[in-house]
Formats: sequence, C-alpha cells, structure tokens
Amino acid sequence: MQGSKPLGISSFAMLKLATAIIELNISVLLFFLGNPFPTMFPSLDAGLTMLIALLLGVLDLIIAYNLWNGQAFGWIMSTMFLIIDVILRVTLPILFGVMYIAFAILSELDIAIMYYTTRPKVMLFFGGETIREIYEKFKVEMQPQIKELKFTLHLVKKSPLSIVGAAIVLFYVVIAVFAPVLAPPGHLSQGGNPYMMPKYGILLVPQPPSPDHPFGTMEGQYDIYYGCIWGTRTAFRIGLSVVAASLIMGLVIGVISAYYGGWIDEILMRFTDIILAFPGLILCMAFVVVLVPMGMNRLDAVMLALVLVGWPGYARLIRSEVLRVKNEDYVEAAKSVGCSPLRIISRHILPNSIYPIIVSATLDIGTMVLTAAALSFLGLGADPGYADWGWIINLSRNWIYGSPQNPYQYWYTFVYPGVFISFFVLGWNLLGDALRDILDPTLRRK
Amino acid sequence: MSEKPLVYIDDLVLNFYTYEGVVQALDKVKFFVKEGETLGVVGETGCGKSMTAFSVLRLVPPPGKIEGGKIFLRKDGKWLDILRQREGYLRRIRGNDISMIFQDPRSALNPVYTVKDQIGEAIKLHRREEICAKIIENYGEGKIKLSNFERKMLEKMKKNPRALSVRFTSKMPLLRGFKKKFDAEVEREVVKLLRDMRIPDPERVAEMYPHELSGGMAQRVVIAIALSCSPKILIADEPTTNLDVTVQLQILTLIRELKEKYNATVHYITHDMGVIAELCDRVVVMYAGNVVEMADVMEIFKNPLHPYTKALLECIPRPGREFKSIEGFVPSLINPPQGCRFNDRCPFRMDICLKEKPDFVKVKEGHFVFCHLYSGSGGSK
Repeated sequence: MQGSKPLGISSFAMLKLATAIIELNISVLLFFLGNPFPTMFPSLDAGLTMLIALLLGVLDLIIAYNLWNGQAFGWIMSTMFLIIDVILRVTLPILFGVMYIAFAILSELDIAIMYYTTRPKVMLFFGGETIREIYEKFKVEMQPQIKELKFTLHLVKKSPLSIVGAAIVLFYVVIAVFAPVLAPPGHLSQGGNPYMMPKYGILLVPQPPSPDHPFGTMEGQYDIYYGCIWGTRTAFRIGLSVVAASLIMGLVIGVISAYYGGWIDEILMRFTDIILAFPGLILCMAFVVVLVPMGMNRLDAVMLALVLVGWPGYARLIRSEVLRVKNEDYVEAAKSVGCSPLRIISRHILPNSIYPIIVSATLDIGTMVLTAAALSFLGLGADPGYADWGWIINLSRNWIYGSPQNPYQYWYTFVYPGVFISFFVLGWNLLGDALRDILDPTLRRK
Repeated sequence: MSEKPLVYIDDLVLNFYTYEGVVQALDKVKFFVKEGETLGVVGETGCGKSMTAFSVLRLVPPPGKIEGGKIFLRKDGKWLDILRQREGYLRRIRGNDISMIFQDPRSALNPVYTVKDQIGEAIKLHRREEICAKIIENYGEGKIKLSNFERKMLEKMKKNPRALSVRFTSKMPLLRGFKKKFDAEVEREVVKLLRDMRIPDPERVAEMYPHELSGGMAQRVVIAIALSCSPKILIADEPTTNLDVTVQLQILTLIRELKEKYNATVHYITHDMGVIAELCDRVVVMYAGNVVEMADVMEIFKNPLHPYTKALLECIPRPGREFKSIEGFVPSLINPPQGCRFNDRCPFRMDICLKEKPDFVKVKEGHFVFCHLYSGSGGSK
C-alpha cells in the first residue's frame, strides 16, 4: 500500500476528517452546554450523547489519519470500525433527536464511498468473487440440500397428521408470541408481572363466562382466559428448556459411558439405574420439596426436578445407539486414519445415532408439560396466581362437581385449561411421530 | 526393493478375554515386512491375520489385549516400538505412516458424509502443513491474491490448527476466506486422488454419498482414503473378498499400480492363494495364531515345506483333480494344543511336536519355517 494511493482514498480521508471535526465539536458543545434542546428533548442524556459523539470523532480521526498515510487498515480492522460506526450512528439520532439524523445520513455517505473506493479490498472478503458469483456458487452447492428439503416437504404434505401436529404447535406459538395482544397485562393485581394472573375481586365462587372474562373466572376471581393465554408461554418454557437440558445431560453421560465403556460405563450407568429405580413423579416431588426451601423459585425448582428425573431415559437411549454405531467399520476406519476420540464422537458417531433421540425428545416436550401440570395439580407447581395451566386446574379441583341440581355448573374452570393442555400434548406427539417418519433414513424412501 | 525391514513383529501375543475363557488369538507371531515389497499374509478364517494387522495400528478391538511382544516400525531411520508409544503420537502415525483398507468398503464409509468429506478428513488431519504451504505459495502471484490476513491465518494454521484464533475465525462468516481456500485446495487433492483411483468423472463422484456408489467404486474410495497421505505401509485386509471377480481383478491391478506410484509397502491379507500368486512378492502363512512359514512367493508354490502349507496348496481347486481338504478342524484357541498348534492334523507328527513349540528354522536365504521336521536336518537357526 505504501506509495501508491488509489484514487478516492485521499478524498475519503478528507471526508472522514471533516466528520471527525464536526463530531468532536458536537461533543465539546454538549459538554459545555448540556442538553441544548431542553424543551424539545427533555429525556436526552447529554453526558451519554457527548460520550458517543466523542468516540465517533476519535474513531473517524484515526481512520482519516491512517488513510491519509496511505496505510489502509487490514480489512478486518476496517470492518470492525464500520460496524461500530454504524451502531453508534444509529443510536445517536435516537438519543439526540431529529437534528442529528440529517447529519448522520450525510456522514453515512462515507460508508458508500468507502465501499466504492476500496471495492477491490471489499471483494477480498469473499475470496475475490463478486456477490453475484458467490450467490450462484451457493445455489449450486446447496442443490442436494434443496432437493432433500423439497422431498422432506413433499413427505410432510403427504402425511396429514404431521400437518395437523405442526398446525397445532404453530397455533400455540402464535398464542405465546401474541399473548400481550390477546390478553393485555397491566391489571393492578398483577403487580407489574405479566405472568401473574389478574385478580378481579375476592369472591370465592367461580363466575361463568361473560364478555369481560370470555372463559369465566375461577376461585378467587382469577381470569381463566388470561391464564390460558399466558400459560402457553409457561408451557413452552417448561417443555423446551426441560427437554433441552435433560437431552444435553443425557447425551453427554450416555455418549461418554458408551464410547469409553469399562468402569466409566459401569459407574455412570449404575447411577442412572439409581434414578430410574424411583417412580418419576414421586422423585420429582421429592426434588421440588427439597429445592424450594433452598430459596429457589418454584417454577425453576419444578423445571430442575424434571431435568434431574428426565435425563436417564435419554442417557440409556443414546448409549444403546452409540454402542451400535461404535462397532461399525467406518468408526474403526476413522480410528485407523488417526482421528481423535472427540472427532470420532462428534463427526462419526453422533450424526448416525442422534435421530431416535431427537424424535423421542419431541414426543417428550408434551409429556414434560403434562408432568409439570401434574405437579401443579398436586400443589407443588408454580407460585399461586402464576399463569400455568396445571395451577388453574389445581384450583378448579374443588369445582369439578357443582351442585346436585347442576353438576356441571362450573365446567369452564377445568374444561378450558384442560383443552389447552390436551391439544398442546397432542400437537407435539403428532409432530414427533411425523418427524420420525421423515427423519429416519430407512423409513424415508419407502 | 530394499532388503531392509520396515516393520518387524516380534513374539506378538494377543489374548481375548471372553466368558468362555481366554482366547489365545496370537501366540508369539514373528515376521517382518521389507520396505517396498508386497507381503501376502495367508491363512484360514480366524487364524489371526487381521488381528496382527490391527495390532500394528494398535487398534485391537476389545476385549482383545496385547500381552507381549514388540512391533517395530522404522521411521526416519529410527526403530519405534509401536506398543510403547503414547496414544496421541500413534494418532499421527495412523493414516500417515500406516493406513488400512477394510474388507467391506460399504460399511467402512460413513453413510452421512460425501466421498469428498471422508477423503478430505484424512488429508486435513495429516497434510495440513503441506496444503497450507501450497496455498501460500500458489496464491502469491496471479489474479487472485491472498490478503495479508489470510496469509497470516494460514501460517498460524500451519503451525497449530487448534489455536483459538484459527478455530474462531474459521467459523466467522466474513473472516473464513482462508478456511474456504484451504477446503478448496483439499477438494482439489481429493479429485486428484480419485483420478488416480481410475474413477471416471471424479468431480461428480466426490459429491456422492456412499450409498450411491457401486461396490468396486466404494472400494476405490476406501483405497483413496488409505493412500491420501502417502503412507509407508498400506495394510489391505481382504479388500477384494466382497467383490465380484472382474472388479476384483481391477482392484488388484489398481493396488499394484498405486504401490509403484505412491512408493508404498503393501501388507496384503487374504485367504486366496490365487491373489497371492498374482500380487505378492513374499508370503507369510499363518495357522491358528501362529506363523508357520515365510518365504518368497515362488518358493512357497514350488517348494512348500511346512505340512500345513503343503495341505493348503493341495486344497486349491483345479480342474481334473479330486477335491481335497485338510483333515480335522482348526483347534479351539481357548485350549490350543500343546506344542505345535498344527499337531493334531499333521500327518508327520512326532513326539516333540506335542511338547515343544517350534521356533523358526532358516532353511535357505529368505525361507523360514516354524516346524520341528526341519530343525534337525540341514536347517540352521
């Protein structure tokens, strides 16, 4: 780079110098004057804005100096500068208001100029190819994947149950995402926590559905509709995080014990046997009862208990799969090429043994929610008032039978949350079944 | 062919611990492989041919355990006892100095990766420095230049591929250009290798998955993996057993050609005397975990000495001759016969055969036999 200054680089340096001076001036002004527009922008933090402007100014100064010397940065540095530059420039107008936007757009031009003047350099990011060429190559490279994906979609289309399963799960996802719209929080009784159900009064007897409370209210005048909607988020949180955590735990323990064998296997598997020897729900309850007094949030305690009870299943499953794959010739071949154990496990064994576990995990997402609901029903679930389907059902336990004249008087207290739970579990089960048919390479092409 | 041995196996003892008892799979196996030759190891199923080969790589499957003996490998002019090396060092030897072709090519390939990935794996493991140096050299001039950063990263990678900076940047979308160049170079090597294997349209085959390949094709890919790092010794474990005859011939021809081209020593395991006659320079005959005879290939066919070798040669079916087989059965290796392990099937059995295990007798230059018949007369130790 020394000696040969490409056309445009020096003008770029000049522009950078100009923006640097302006930004430094702004920061000095802010420092001395404080907020210049107290009436227009009362919330503007002069100190922070000053700091950002100062940073931007110094950054531009450095870039300008280096460009002037003809020592363009290595592209890694310039990319970094560019990223910081853009982030700061985007935050500054937000803080500083409309006044700065015009200036920001103007100074943003330098990025465009930088791209065009140093275009050959920018192109080097991608190994000397234009973006169009990269895209074409990517398309060709991805051909087999796209083909398989299309086939997978075709399979999905062919099995209606998988569509139903996916639709149910998607429906719940939509409910969970749009919960604040469907059931706006903000009732005084919630205390600012949207996951607590609002309490409309202190009346003990549940009230039937009304325009204000579409699913009615339950004992203590908790709004059932709100609880069902926000309970979806709780259900996803329990299902996904519990399954993910126990999957990882089971995976690590199962793989290690199967791959290394011997006394490591013996110790780990006897340990899993101990956990499996207890009835799952009882052990869960025991864990919750121990964990809650230790200062844990009740919902977290339930989730942790489910993980601690749930991992042995995965560990056993992955162990048997790894034991099967471990003796395949290609693992021996990989060893004879000189692969390390970690590489053999991650590249040769896991890709060939993970599918049954993934399917089982998908099926378990529903089951975990069911178990959590059972714990709630037994009174060991989330905090009272927490938007959780199991807790709603727990509270409506006393209202299953109404009066002798009208035994189903309070049907809404348990039917709505019950339907929510059942369909949630059904959706995941259907999806899991469909996933097995689609992912399993031996069933795939039948 | 030089006369210097490249691998020397001395009194190798290998036992398998099973519930039925200790299977004495190899009992004082002793032979050597000369540099540049093709050594054929022949014997019945279960006589320990493959286990000897696995021992050389020290990859004996459990519950097998190497209980004694030494395996020397000559590396850079020094003798290296493979059984005493650290596992990490062995990993550098496997694939690089010694590599193996497996019996069933289909199961030796991982079904979830393309041919390109599987051959590339060995190259990336052992030839990283060479490939990096090549890229740095070749990209220097020409239209596409290597940026400073890429050069720096490649040099770093050449030194230590597990450096944090290399591992991190090779996964960053904009920064991994050097990794892409590396992968492209590896792919070029793979295609070159496949072309050497006489595979038509190597660019297309490189993108294929193992299930799309025919048996012969898959075996060529396995051979390509084995040869990808130009090993000194190529162990071929019955590579043609599962193939039909025409493909078998092609693979044999290929191995013979590649041996010259890659300057490798071949340790060929088979039970087919025809293949031995076709391919090998020297033969080791094994029986029930013992070496019984070792000689040049012509010598074995013209002048077999050990009773077992004689019987084995008689067993080759030929037109116009009655079908013959060796009387008796291969002894159980849990309770092998005392003394010579062939004694219960041997027509020339003597008293000493029941008591004492025969040591090798050098009958003439390059012809060794492990038999009491020759220890007194004419043979010298």
